[in-house]
Amino acid sequence: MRDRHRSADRAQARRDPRGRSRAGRPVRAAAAARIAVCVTSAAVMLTSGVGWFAYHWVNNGLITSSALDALRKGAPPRLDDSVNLLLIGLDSRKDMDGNDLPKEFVQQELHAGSSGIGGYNTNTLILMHIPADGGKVTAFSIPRDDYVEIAGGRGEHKIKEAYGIAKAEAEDKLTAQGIKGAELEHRGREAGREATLATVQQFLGVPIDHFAEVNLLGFYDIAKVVQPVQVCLKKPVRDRYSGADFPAGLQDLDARQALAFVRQRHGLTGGDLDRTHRQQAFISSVTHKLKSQGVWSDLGKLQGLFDVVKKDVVIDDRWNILDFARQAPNLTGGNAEFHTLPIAGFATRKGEDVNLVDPVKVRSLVQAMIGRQAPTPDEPSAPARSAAPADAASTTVDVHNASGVVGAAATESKSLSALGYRTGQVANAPVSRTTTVVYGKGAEAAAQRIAASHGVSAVPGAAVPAGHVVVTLGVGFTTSAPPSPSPHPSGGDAKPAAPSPVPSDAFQGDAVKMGGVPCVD
Amino acid sequence: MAGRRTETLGEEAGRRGARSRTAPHASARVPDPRSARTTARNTRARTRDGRPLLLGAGALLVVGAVVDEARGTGLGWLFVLAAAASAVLAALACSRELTWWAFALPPWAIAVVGLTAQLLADSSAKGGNTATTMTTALHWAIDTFPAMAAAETSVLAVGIFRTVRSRRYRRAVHA
Repeated sequence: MRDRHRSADRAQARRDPRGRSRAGRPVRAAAAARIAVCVTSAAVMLTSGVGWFAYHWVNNGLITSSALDALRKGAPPRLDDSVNLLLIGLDSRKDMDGNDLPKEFVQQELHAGSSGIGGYNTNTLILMHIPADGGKVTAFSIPRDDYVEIAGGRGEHKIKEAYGIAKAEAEDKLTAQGIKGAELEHRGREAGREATLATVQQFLGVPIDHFAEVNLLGFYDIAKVVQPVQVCLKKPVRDRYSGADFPAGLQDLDARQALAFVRQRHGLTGGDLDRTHRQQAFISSVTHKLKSQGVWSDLGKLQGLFDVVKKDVVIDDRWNILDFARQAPNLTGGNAEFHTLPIAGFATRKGEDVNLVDPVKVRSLVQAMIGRQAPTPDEPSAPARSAAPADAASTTVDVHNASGVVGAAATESKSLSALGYRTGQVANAPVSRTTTVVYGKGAEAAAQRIAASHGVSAVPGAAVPAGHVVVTLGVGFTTSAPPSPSPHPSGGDAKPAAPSPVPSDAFQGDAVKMGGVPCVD
Repeated sequence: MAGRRTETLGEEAGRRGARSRTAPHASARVPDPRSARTTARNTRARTRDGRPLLLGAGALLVVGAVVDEARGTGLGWLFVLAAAASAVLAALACSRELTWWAFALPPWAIAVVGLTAQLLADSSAKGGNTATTMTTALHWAIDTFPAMAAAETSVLAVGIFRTVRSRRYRRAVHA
């Protein structure tokens, strides 16, 4: 019996090694497969977790505003999934809590006088339209001195003043409620944002989906991260107000110089309007640099940029950075075009030089450009402006001020110069009730256009030199800017332009195309 | 094997099987042929019982994704809840030997369902450039990680619950 058991055990012992060797491979294979599945599963979860943490790291700490909430009810209807983004450049020398920035910093780095200057003017207002299909981005710069109706029944003012007016109003009320300090500043700014957003929405007739607000310090800090930024100037410039002192041609700017570059307006032919082109060109240069260095797809490089954005930039609380990044590959890729919205002329209102605008025309242009509707056939702008005068550069315009309004001739001369005419004599004249336009030999066509913009007829004058036009501004003169004849080639790339729904000269100056380093005045 | 108690989702069934044994230790040491046949049948039945649960878990996950996408807000808290519930079902459906599947499966299932939902619901996610690919991947991560975390936590909770209950049961039996 015992032997039988022993022999059975031996038999079992013989079978076992064979059994193990047969089953060994499948067991090992199964174990390897199990490990592989577990490891890859862990890898999937780790990848997902890293992405999740990275996104939340980026998103957390952004300064957000709910100012857009108040606008959504009365916003123009959305026709598709396109996105309209408003960039607001605030000319404030204070930090987010309303504290003055260090005096030395403001004077030496920002070259912006003292903290008391500038107030809360929105010196940069750029609406960017990103089509639903992610196509070419169209951006519109709103000249800061456009004289428009400020939302909230605040009357007509320069559009840049909407922010400050609303902020001051809100702060008066809040102070009466005992609110002060940083809280007062935050709530005041929120009111300022609401008024600016509502005013722009009302002025352009398109819904604003998102906004980003940056002040002087924010701009400086961002420029510091991306410096040096290459820009191109057509002419050398020197301006003691902004600190701009640049030669002509391509050059690299540091943060301080970049700020001077986008702030200079004195000494430029087109004044504020040239400054607008500078801002557009700078955005194009920065985008070009970020793209060419691969920053958009480099989380490490984006980190520095986001650190600054978190500190100095205010965005709306519904802005999903990720969705935006996906919607705007053409923006980050440089497929965008900037236009400066047209003005109807210059005038003095409430003792200040302002840009007169035709809101109906502006709305029509913007909506035609972003495909909401075709431009109105009876719109005076399109057909009238399609025939840009070729003789403007050879016409010298002398402006005499007989209106009694201080600075009227200088303003008029500046505006005509911005449109390509050569600046002539600017002088005062005995007060006259009528506005006259007199021309010399060879300047009849230009004179007629200028006269038409003043609602008068041009007459020949024997005493006027050949190629000259003499404009005498009378009491109560009105101006509507004549068509811009001056070509300002400022595109960075020589890409073939897509057919535009409106004539290119319907805007103030030529468009600035992103995708390179545009050369500007 | 026949005398071994298989802890499956059918934990309840297992307990019923255990209760039916008047002497568990004796039964384990000296298998009764009739009892062994019954246990084997039960094991097969329990294995079959797990499949509908696994299918239900998968369906629940898909339904969560579909409902969330239909709400227009992308994959959100409903998807997270569905993932957690699905993981619980999957964990209950697995035997103790296969518990590792309950841990390994959810990230894969959630990743696949999340990516599919994203590609089907958002046409812009299919772009070919680097930025689009990167943002799509990041979007996928943001959408799926909370669901994965919730699912794994649920599986862990089920595992702990089952272990504690099993120990209590063993203590009760040995007492």
